Amino acid sequence: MKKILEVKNLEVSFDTYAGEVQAVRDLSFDLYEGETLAIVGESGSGKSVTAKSLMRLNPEPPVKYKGGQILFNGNNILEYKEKEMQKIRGNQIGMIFQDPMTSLNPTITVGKQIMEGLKKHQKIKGAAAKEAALKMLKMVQIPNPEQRFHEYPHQFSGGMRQRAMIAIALVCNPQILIADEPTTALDVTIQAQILDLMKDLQNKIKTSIILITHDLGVVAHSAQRIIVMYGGKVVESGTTDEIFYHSKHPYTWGLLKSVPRLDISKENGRLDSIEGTPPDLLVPPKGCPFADRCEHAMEICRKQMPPQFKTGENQYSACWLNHELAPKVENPVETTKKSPTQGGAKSL
Amino acid sequence: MLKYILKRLLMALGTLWVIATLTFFLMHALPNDPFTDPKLKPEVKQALRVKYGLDKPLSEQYIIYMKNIAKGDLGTSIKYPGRSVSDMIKQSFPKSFALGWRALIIAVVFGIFFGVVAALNHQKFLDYLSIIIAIIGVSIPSIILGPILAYLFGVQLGWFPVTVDKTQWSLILPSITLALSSLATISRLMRTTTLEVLGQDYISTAKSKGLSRYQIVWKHVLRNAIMPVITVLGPLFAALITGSIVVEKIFAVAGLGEYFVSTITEQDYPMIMGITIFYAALIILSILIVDIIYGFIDPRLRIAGKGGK
Amino acid sequence: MTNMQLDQSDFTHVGKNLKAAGEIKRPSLSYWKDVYRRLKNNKVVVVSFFILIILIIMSIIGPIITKSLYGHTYEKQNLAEQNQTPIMSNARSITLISNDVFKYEEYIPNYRKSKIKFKNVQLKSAGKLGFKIGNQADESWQGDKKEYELVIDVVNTDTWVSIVDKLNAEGERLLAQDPDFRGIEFAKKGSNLIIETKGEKWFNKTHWFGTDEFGRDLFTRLWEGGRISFFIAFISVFVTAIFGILYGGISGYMGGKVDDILMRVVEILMTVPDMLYTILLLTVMDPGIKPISIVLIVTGWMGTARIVRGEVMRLKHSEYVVAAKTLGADSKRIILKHLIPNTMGPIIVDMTMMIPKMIFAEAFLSFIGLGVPVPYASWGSLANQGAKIFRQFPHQLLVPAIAISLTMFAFNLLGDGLRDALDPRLRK
Repeated sequence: MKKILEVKNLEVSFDTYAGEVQAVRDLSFDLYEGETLAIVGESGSGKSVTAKSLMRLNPEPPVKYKGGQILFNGNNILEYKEKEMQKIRGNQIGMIFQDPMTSLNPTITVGKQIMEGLKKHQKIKGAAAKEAALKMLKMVQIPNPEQRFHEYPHQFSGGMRQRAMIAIALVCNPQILIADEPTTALDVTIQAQILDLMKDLQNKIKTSIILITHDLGVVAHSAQRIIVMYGGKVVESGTTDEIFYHSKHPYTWGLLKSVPRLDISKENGRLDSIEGTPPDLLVPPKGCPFADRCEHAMEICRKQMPPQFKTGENQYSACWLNHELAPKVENPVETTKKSPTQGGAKSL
Repeated sequence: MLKYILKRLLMALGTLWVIATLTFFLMHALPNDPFTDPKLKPEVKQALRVKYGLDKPLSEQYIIYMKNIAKGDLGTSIKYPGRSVSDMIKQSFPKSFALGWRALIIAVVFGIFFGVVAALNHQKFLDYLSIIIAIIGVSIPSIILGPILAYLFGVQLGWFPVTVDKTQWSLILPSITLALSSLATISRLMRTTTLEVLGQDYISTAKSKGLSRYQIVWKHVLRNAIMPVITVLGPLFAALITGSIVVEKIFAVAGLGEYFVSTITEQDYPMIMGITIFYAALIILSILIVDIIYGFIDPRLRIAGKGGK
Repeated sequence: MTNMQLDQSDFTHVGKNLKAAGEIKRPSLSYWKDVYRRLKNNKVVVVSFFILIILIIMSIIGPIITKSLYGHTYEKQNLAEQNQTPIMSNARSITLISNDVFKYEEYIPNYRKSKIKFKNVQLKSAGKLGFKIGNQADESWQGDKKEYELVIDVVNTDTWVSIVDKLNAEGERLLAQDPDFRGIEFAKKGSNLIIETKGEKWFNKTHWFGTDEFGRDLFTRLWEGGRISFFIAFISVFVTAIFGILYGGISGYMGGKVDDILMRVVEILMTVPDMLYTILLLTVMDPGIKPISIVLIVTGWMGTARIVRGEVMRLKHSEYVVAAKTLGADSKRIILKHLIPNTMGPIIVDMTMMIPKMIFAEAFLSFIGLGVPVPYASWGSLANQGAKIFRQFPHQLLVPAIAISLTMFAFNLLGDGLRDALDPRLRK
């Protein structure tokens, strides 16, 4: 498969009154054509900043790109000028935001908002643009597209608005769709519909999707690969199966334990949560960012940042437990699919 | 929508009636009456009182006056015998209005422009400059600004006439004097709302579509940021109308404001009543019109109006 | 494994450190401390605050200073010292009394006519050219009242150079005759003729800001006016705030029908153009400090009431008030402990912004002749007097104008700063 996006050692920070917050630290990942990659983490883990960095949507200043590269089709977009970025935004990379209630302009009809991208990038005007927009509305399964075309966002329900948002993001057939918490603000029943729709559209127009979410439940059925972020860093990455069933990082275990599941009944009938709060990235910890909240923490965790240990075929885990000297700790997450044999972890 | 307008019109009439009644009784609570000239003989005074109906009991006078207003008759002036109040207003108001609409346009156009420019350059030089201009605008009262402008540009530089004559040129200084504080108010408000809109999610959406800065500002920011400014236009117009009382005095405009002050000190009852009601009606009407326009512009309200039928 | 320094001891189990995990590493501040910190760091706010303090202190002690030094009071007239400027000059005024000699496009005097510019002068014919130096009738004289005449005869062979020479020679002759003349200088620069009389300039030691048309000391009157303007502004804002808080608080707290009725009343009152009512009310009462304050209160309280009501309504349904209620707190406790402290922010901002409005309104009323009666001074009435003779004596307007503008400026900036500091949404 062809790599279309390659993030190498990305460093993003922003200035606040108290000092420089290092929101993303030494982040690297690849995105292949046609796949869905999920970036998972709790709020403050740097996942939204990462998403916005891919389109350079973070306001600069206060946000600064301090190092690394974002290679889109081989070109480093961090070196692009604003005008060049505008040609990529909406045209080659589309984006959906968290809250469909606020991400549509209340004073412009939905139809016009969909056509804007077409007019800008494909120079399509008038009836042709309208036709393309109507096609998009049909594609995202909005009923009565002819009528809806002329309506304003407040006449749409939440789920419909998110569909309209998807139509806006996909109208120019972008190579990448970035979905920043696309279902968080929606009802559970609607969430599934939106995820199904995205999957369906991905098959139709062959776009790659980067799905940003804090909810592992959302990820399970839509993503092929998962990146888990914590404290501005990637703590674990791998295929969906690897992360769900063979995770080698206590933070991922914590995330997995906090997902409500019907197939496993807990003894106390309660969901587990991860105690404590994420580190303050104003003064990032010297060692592993998760060490203070980790029940398996060791001396080394406080002192030194763990490297990315290779823990599976496509899996890397940044945890000292995978070091050969570390005590063996079992993955406490009960899984329905027990792995056959799990060899000793190989380090990088 | 129609129902809404009718309801608002009815409320406006009610408010006007309250104002007319209050003014009527306040005015008659004034310690003297119009005929205080010591040279007038008592019997002449009495005759005058009879002529203007001031000898009747207050309640009767009130009923007669209200009936007349309903017919659109504002009575005749006491100090300018033989001239009807309506005529006096017709004659002097256009002069005030000539200042008023120019000031309104200056305030709106420049106010919006400064506000948007400031917000787009948030915490940069142009932002601070526009904040300073706005603060100066609200800090220098027209009673000071007027004479200073007249002296600088009228007397020293000689660019403009010092008093208003028939030329357009002469209206510039008074219009600016009248406009400045409103201009400052609008630019501050516009700056705040523009900053708010710039922080909205739909601006990120617009940006993610690849629109240029200019397209974003023009199509997405301005329209949304202007909405709150439209709502203050009504009260602003009212402020301009009352504000012109001072400006007319400074630049010697024989407008309605000048008359208003002099009729009060001269206790010209029908004139006080007439001008007060006229001013109040004008202000209430302008606020009403602005509200209706707002209802047409904002799609959210437009639909709410439809649903209210 | 490439990392050589690691040994077994590095991998001893230490477990969680939740204290460190929960610790927030940036300084945590209470609300009011944070407000204070932000106000203190805002230079504009600090400067405005000190400007206001200085203005208020001067209003209190200014009249006392000049009274103890020179015996000035705000009402003491001295017609011998009328219309003095802060910087005095005994240069004499110049008046053209006869001119057969040149044409000019424009005549531009300075305000005391001690320097005159004739623009685009052109020689016309021979004849007399005469000036009067000093003018007893002129109200802007300072120093002595002597008058001189300077006349020359211009013949056909004269050029501008010889004319200017003749004029200057005549000036020197007058000076030689009487040193009180103090000298005059004629010059032709380009196509303009410029004439200037000589004189000394000195700081007006007895009247620091000059005097008005009745010879009253402007410094004393300015601060006396400050007392009245500040007094009117503070008292009306104070009463307005109390009334507004009570009215808005009751309306918001009671809600329902009471709220409907109270707010409808406010709505109607707010559509009434307040300047009209201010003027009408003031004519019913005799002008003075008390009536002006009353009028400003009557027309000003509605805004405060609405703000307070809005805040109370918002807080009433806020989670912590509901929580307090569930925990069994009674109304008195909720109002005192929760509602009042949390509505203080917007009210303080509103009050700060209202003070300049009140000073403005007072100035407006004084300007149209409905302000404090003579011989009292307020900043508005001083500005009104000054505006009348602004072209001859700009300082009489500029002195109160600067005071008014500075006060408005400082209060507005302070209000802006307070609003920013009190707004929790703006906390970074």
